[in-house]
Amino acid sequence: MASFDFAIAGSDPVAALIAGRLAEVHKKKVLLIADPVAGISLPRQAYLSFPLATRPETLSLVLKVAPEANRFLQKLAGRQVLSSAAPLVTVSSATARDAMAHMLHMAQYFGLEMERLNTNRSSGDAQRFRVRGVQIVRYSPLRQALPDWLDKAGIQICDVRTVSVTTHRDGAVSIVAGQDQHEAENLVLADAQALRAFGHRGDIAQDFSEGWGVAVLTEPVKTSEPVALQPEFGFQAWQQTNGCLAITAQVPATAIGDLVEQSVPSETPPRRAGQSEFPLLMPRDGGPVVGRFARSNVHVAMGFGQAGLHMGPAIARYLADQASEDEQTYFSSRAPGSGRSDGHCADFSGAPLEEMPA
Amino acid sequence: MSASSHRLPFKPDRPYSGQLIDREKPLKFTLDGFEYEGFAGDSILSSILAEGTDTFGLIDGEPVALDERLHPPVALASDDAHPGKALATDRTPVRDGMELVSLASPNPEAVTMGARIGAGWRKFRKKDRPSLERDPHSVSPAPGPWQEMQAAKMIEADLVVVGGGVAGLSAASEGLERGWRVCIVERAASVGGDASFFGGAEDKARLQGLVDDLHKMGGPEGRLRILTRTEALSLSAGIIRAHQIEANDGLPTGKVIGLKGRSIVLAPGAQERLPLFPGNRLPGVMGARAAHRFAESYGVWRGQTAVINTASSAATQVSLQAADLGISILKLTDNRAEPQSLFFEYAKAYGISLATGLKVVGTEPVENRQLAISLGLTSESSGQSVEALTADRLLVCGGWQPDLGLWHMAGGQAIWNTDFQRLQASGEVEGIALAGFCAGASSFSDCVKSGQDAVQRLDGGRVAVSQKNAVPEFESEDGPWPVSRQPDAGQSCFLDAGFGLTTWAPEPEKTGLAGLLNFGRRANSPELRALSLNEVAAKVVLGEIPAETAGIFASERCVAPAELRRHSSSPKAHTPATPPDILPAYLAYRFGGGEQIVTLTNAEGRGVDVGCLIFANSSDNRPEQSIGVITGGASPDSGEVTACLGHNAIENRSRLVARNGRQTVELQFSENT
Repeated sequence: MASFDFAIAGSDPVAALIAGRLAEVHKKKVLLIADPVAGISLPRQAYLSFPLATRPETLSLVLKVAPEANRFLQKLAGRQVLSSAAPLVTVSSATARDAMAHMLHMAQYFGLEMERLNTNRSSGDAQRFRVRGVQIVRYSPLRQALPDWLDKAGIQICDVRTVSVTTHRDGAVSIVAGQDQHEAENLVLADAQALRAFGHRGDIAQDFSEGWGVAVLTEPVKTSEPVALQPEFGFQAWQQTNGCLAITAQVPATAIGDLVEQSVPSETPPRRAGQSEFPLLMPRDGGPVVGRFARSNVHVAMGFGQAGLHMGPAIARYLADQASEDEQTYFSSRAPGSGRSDGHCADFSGAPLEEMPA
Repeated sequence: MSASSHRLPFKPDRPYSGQLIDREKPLKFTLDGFEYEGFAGDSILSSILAEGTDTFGLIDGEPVALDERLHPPVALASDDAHPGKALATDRTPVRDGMELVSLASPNPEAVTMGARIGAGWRKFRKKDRPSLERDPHSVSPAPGPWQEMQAAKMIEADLVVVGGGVAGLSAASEGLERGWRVCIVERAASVGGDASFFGGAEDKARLQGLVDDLHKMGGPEGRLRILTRTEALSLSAGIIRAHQIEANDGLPTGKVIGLKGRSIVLAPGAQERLPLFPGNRLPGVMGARAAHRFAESYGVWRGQTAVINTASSAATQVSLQAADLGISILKLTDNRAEPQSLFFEYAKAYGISLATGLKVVGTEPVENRQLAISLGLTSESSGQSVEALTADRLLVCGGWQPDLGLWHMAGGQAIWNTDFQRLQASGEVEGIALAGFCAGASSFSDCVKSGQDAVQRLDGGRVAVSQKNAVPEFESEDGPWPVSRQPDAGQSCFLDAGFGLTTWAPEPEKTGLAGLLNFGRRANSPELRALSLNEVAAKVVLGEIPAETAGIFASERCVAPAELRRHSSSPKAHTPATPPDILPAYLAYRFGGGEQIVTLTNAEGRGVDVGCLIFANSSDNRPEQSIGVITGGASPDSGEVTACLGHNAIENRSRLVARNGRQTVELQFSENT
């Protein structure tokens, strides 16, 4: 039976990054519980160095940790893992326009280049904003680099589909993966699949609401807006190096065309090359949920949205009890079960502002 | 009939005499200005194939066959070729005097040639029109514009069955027995599916019994509705979108309908796999089952000589029926080394030349519109030819892939079955059950049971799900997918017979200017476009997709390659606006808790924008120090603004300084706040 300091359960790149940093930087023994074929799935999240967020402490922390994360990502996967972007943000409802105005004033303080664009006839009721100086993470080089890096960091990986987990009274966690048995001091649930599989229903209901997301890949398209966001609908569209658009949103699949037409101009509508719908667990207040569930050594680290990869090194530090004062203050206020409710939506990223169409 | 007619002679009670056509009722119609002749009961596609037009157009200079899975959508000329009035060539019956136009673009190479030769060329082509001269890539969305049309009406039933084959009919019967309202959606002009292809003569009578029973149970009370010529397009949230061709006495019309079922049985059957060899979609090459369907329903058959190559026993019987009507079967070859099949024994008795352990390694067009067919040893991967034949047509069967398209759209999963080299369904979807070949049934009896089981499961019964694809007694299992060799430059080898048009070819150059400019070729890469199930399966067989990821690849990438267009139901129409006096969700707890929307006085009259942060001191400027934010009424001359303030700021009547860039503006609480 192998023993680990941490078992990280999650199949997205953020989970892998947290696992790798815990092992490489903080010298922890780490087991990664992941879906080995998740890498073939369509991208479900755009990762940006500057996320859309209305909470100043979120922006403040991301801006502090982003340079370190950028250096690390480039060391890991080469310079091509990051590319400069100037996302076009489109909002339609009065509430979302006000939220973006709020963000605009904060961005000025933080020295970020964000501007309100003039409305024109084609934009209708929509208000558009341009954010400059943003770095976007490219999936392809990152996915190619992660396996070797995890291997070199000595991380053992097991298939989430074969895993069962038991938490003991003393807090230890037993993990059975096929024929193998493992023990971990801490279990970190780092994506919706892991949280559903290994979390307690009550814990989940307290901090998360359920929803559906849709991911779409298009055939190559020529567009003047390679990165477009519509936060009301969780809509993110970003062009891949091969010209395809990766799109995710929290709307019915039939509504994707409307959002694309609103914010991704092209000579002809992009043609669908792939699509999947997937269940989501969204933090009730739209912000991250990080920390230990009550009476257990089971932690959660979810809801970082566009900032996930840039927050990764800081999350690993927090889990390893080596966080800076700012990080400690920020993450400790995001602990699970700390009185969140549907009304406490303080951050703009990661969840829609308002009720989605059925 | 015209001299170029590709019809089998009529012989009473022979299977390939054309069950759906009335040879006493000839008719004429035009397509793109060219005149065609046919019979009452013909589909547009069967008529033009019968007249010898068997080519869709050119891809990279090579002709590509017109087929049951690759044909252009058309519209009535009187409808001004409106895409919203599009008709499916394979499902639409012809009418006398009908004038049709194709909705696929002309083939660029044909246009160039036509412009060069001029009107004389057209006249010449009218005498013998082997090709529609359309661009196969131009049908977007494939298979027709209806792919993206809104449903004109909704039909509700207790049970909706997709597929009117044996399993679908059995499921419908089971539903009717429970007193349910049942609706069957069937692509073809009549129900019955492929029972005559996969089964023996005795199955024909059993099928008729099944259909008769169904009508007896559902007919009198009007609980049974059968929608033929109707193709299910998508399945999401329990609603099936389907395109229906209505063909009463007048001109045919097409429309999209919605079908909502409390329970849904998917019994769409199997897709025929295309063996992989250079020239596998040349005119004259056709799937054995497709050839069977055209011959049985419409009596359509190309030429007088044929070679058949199969990896599946069922395809063998095509040779018997064709030989029965005077077609010369030059050779019946089987990919398997020692296949055991009753059909094979019958073929021997017919005196058909048989060979086993052979596969097609290449095909080329030769004069008189014949094909030069090279056969090689199945056991050899070199693609070396051991025998060459020339025939009017080559019928091939590479085995079967369950048609899981709708299953995937409904959220169903799939896994790769290594033994059968196919994707098979896995997991469950609430309210939906698979039946027939998709549920592992092959024989008539298994399909009947599979349909019954599906309904029992949906009705809460406990029935074990089988996915073993049982093989009928005395029949060998299907052989592996026949793969010849990678084609040389200038040759095409397609991975499937449909609109996908993905070819087996060396990876395109990925670097350099040529790679960047060659957009069309790059779009052939699996990373860049939607794929069909057979294309995914072929790529697994060719080692281009790992078997363990095939299920995910199929469920995510086997989608209709429709354009992402605006629909009438914009999501923003559903988004409720937050009233101005209600605290928006994103501001809750933003300023320490107890946030409220309050009215403030802007005595200075200087402008403050919505979004300006409010501080307690003019020296504060960090957003974390803010105690509120302007939310409305922020015009310079209004005198009042609304703002969101935290509980402490309201309780303490804090000093309020709004910061608009470098400018600060003093605000006061209104008297009634």
